[in-house]
Amino acid sequence: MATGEPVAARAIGQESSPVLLGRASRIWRTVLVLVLAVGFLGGTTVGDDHWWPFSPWRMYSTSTDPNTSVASTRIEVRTAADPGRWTPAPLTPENVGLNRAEIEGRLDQIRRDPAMLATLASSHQALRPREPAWVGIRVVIRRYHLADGALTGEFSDEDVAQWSAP
Amino acid sequence: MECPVTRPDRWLFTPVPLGRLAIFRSLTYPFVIVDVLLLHTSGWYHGYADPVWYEPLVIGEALGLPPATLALVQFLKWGTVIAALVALTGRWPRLAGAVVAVGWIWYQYIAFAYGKVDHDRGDFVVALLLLPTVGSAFWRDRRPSQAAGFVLRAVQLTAIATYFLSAWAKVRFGGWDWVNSATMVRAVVRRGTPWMRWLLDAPWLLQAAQWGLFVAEMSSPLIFFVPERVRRWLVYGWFAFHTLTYASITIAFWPHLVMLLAFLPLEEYADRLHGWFARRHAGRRVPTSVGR
Repeated sequence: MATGEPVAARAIGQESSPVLLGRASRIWRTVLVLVLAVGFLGGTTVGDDHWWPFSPWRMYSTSTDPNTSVASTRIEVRTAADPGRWTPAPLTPENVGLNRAEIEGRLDQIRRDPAMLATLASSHQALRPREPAWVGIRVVIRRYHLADGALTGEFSDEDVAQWSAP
Repeated sequence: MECPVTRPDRWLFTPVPLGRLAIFRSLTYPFVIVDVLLLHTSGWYHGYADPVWYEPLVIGEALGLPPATLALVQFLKWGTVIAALVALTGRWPRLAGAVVAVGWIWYQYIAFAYGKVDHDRGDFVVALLLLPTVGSAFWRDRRPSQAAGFVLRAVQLTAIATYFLSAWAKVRFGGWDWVNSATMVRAVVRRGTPWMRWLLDAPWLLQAAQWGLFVAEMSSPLIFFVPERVRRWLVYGWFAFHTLTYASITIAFWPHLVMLLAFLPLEEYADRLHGWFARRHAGRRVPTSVGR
């Protein structure tokens, strides 16, 4: 038996005429596309992240001055097991329920109200019950310096806020 | 093919085989499951975050959506997975598809309402909302359908809008100087993979890449005006770009990658794959008749 074209032979409706949409169906679909277009164009032109899903597609859209520094936010914690020492902890959803960018977006608020950091300790406790509890958290911004778009190898740290368990 | 400018009404509703839409569904709904369970889990972890971190978005304020709780994220997570499994079987495509759309979009909302919005999911939202507008569709159904053509066209439009409007956003937020800035250096510093950190010793290369990307994004809508063969290669080109990005800074716009498939003749690929399997199978049964 010939094995050529086994699929096409069994396909349905190859020759049949198109399944068309009625006038009303075409009209509401067209209107929907126009509404989506207005949403996306508006979001990009004047909107911000709060407009999601019409927020501007701004991944890596900001300019970085080739002679400035690149900041990376981190947290350091003191644990109940070793309360005298600050150690870096992963700033990840798996560890504290939030990711780095979410903390970076709230730095001003954290500066004003460092007690917010206590909620990270409770979230960590709920997510990682077997690990030693956190009795202190501090947020540090590490800045890597650039010159002409290249890393100089230097960095500086800034303490943003600190919380200790009462 | 119809011209998008002279006959936009026909172009928007160019019929495509129902089988293409069926295959597109068969790729989209499994992705929903993988995304919810493995790829984009920050929404689930927000169930553990204190409500003090909740920052409602416009859509959440309009609909009165509450901060996440563990119960809510569990319900959305598993509800979406179950609905996607049902949608995958091809049964009740409209109902199951609508439940997937609502569940997945709400779950994304929870992921994004804590201060960080990802920018790779606009086209997937559109796809999930529109897929239920087509009724039953099966892989082998070759009947051309306007409803199916519309869904794929709308997804294509949003996928390309992602590129074009992100170039626009670069001008808006970064200024025209964006192309000469150190944005990619910053990206590699923050998340560069070990095998791509050599790029930091060649900042000029990253700057050239910024120019190339910006030009490609700005001209991306031209994809709708080129012959079919060229169009496919442009899509392969975008896939190559995303692969390189992933290799360099481990960022991949997963849902968008699935949406790019809306450009491709999926039913032809499926036929070819099936034909290849059929020949292989036949060859194994009657090894001498193949003559290899």
